[in-house]
Amino acid sequence: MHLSRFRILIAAGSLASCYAQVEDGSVQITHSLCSPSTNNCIPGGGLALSTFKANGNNTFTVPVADVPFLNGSKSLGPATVNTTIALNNATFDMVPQPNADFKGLTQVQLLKAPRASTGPTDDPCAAPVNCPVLAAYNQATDGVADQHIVLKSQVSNLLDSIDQTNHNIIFEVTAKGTAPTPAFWSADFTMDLGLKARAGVP
Amino acid sequence: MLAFDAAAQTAPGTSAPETGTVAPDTGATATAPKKVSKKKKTPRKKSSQKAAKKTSKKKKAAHALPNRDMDAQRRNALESLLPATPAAAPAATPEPAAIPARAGSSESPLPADLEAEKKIIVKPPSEPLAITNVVVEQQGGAPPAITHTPVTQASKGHSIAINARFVGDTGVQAATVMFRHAGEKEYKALAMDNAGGDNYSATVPGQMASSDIEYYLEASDRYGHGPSRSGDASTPYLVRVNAPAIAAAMTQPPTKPPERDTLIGIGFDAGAPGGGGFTLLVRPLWWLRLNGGIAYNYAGFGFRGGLSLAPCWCAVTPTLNLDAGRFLSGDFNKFASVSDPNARALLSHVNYTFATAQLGLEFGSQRWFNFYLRGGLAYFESSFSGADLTALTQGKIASDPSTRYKAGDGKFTSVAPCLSLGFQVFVY
Repeated sequence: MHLSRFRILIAAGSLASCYAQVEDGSVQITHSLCSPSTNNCIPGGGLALSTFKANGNNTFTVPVADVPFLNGSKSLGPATVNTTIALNNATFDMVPQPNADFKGLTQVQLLKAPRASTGPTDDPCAAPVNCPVLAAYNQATDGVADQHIVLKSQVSNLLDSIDQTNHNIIFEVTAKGTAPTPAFWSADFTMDLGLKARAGVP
Repeated sequence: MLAFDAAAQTAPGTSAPETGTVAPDTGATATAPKKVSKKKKTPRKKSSQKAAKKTSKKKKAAHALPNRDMDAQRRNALESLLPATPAAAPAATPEPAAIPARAGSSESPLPADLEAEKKIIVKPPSEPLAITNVVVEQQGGAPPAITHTPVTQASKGHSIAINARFVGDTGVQAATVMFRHAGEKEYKALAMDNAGGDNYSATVPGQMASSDIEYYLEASDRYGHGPSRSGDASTPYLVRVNAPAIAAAMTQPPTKPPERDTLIGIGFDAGAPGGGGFTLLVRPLWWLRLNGGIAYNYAGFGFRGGLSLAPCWCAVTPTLNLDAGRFLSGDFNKFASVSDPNARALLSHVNYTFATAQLGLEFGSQRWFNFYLRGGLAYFESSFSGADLTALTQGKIASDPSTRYKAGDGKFTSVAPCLSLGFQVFVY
């Protein structure tokens, strides 16, 4: 009797240790804040910044591909699939033009917006509680940025920020300091993600 | 009886003895029938020295008899019944006479009539001759010497064979095993049977082997001398009676490989998800096998190696098997129906490394040929090209020209049950 239980435990333990996992430590999604047709679309001119208003909107949308198991925990037969998407960091790279840099920025925050902005005056993150901070830059601690600014991740799993229907993430960027010198400027936004999907026997 | 018969058969028609004196050298005396009758139960000693010794004793005994000479009436009655006997090979008598006084001689032995002799033998003596004759037959000697290797282990419920060697000049009688369960007071007697020569054996029944047993041996010679003992009632031998498995382990030597192992062999196997393979086997130690060879998983070829531990060489041998290998680039589109060209490109050149830990049972000879079944866990690790992953992901968002993907190399890992079967042949 005890031997049978022991065998069952061994078998169950062995099965419990079975899994399949796919991971990629670095998947970079790069999104141009200004579309090629609009070229430079963010107001600059050395004015005080509050948000990056690309194309006149306070938010921008980044599509995340419809990769498998993107919707978190999911049953797959007897196995349960758990997916995590870690945000390693987020960066802005200035599209080169004379005198265009991020030296005037003292603080930058990448927020997850609940919805897309409809115009220059529509700020979905007016109430900060609706927009968790995903990444942040602080000149005092991170140093003065030039044309490349890195925002450190503030979240462990970005999965909850992805719209499960259209697989998009809507961002809003708030900033303090002075805007780049050019009247209009542009930058490429890049998310560096770590993906992991693990299927295990419950 | 034999001595007397010999005389009777070899001396037909001889004449009556001339004197009434006892003729012990031929055995044809009044006391001869009873002596012979007694001797019938006694095996002959071949040694002439023993015969002389016996004769000497008989002489002494005969002289000690108060009625050593039969009365004339009885002697005459006997002699009258004996026909005349010609001289014919009296020396064939195997037993020497016990009394030197002699009636007849080798040249003129006494006649003997067998029927008459029988009558005389059957006839009860009028005097207590039989008693004195029995006294005559009491022999000297010593109890047999016992050589015995004690039994120390036995299996519960199985009979216990006890063997010993009894050696004595005067034979062996009443060879006995006295045994009891440990803790009991009384011993039980178990007669030992002659197993040829001086060897004797007895078997304690299996039903008695329910707990530890104490025993000793004893035996006397034919004349009642002894008993001599191996062990004794106060210091008996102890047989530990164990459960069968313990007894087997203690009494049977561990399974060992033959003196010369086969060192090199080949093996074939197939399984899931590891595919099949052909391996070369090398056995540096009898319990250790190393293997290395090529593998095929239907998608492509690879190579692998490992080791197996076989703790015994049994008809069914359990094994622990550790293997590792790598499959080179293979087309896994054979296993999946994928329409996305980027996904097909990703699956077209999959390679992976694996390691397995399996327990197995091997049936057959470890020395030459066996087949096996193994099961356990396998670890797989595969990497995917970042370029392929980038293409795969980018293809899904091709409609948005403002977003680009760049993926690093991906990794797939898995721990899964594995099963394999195969056979192996050792050829050298």
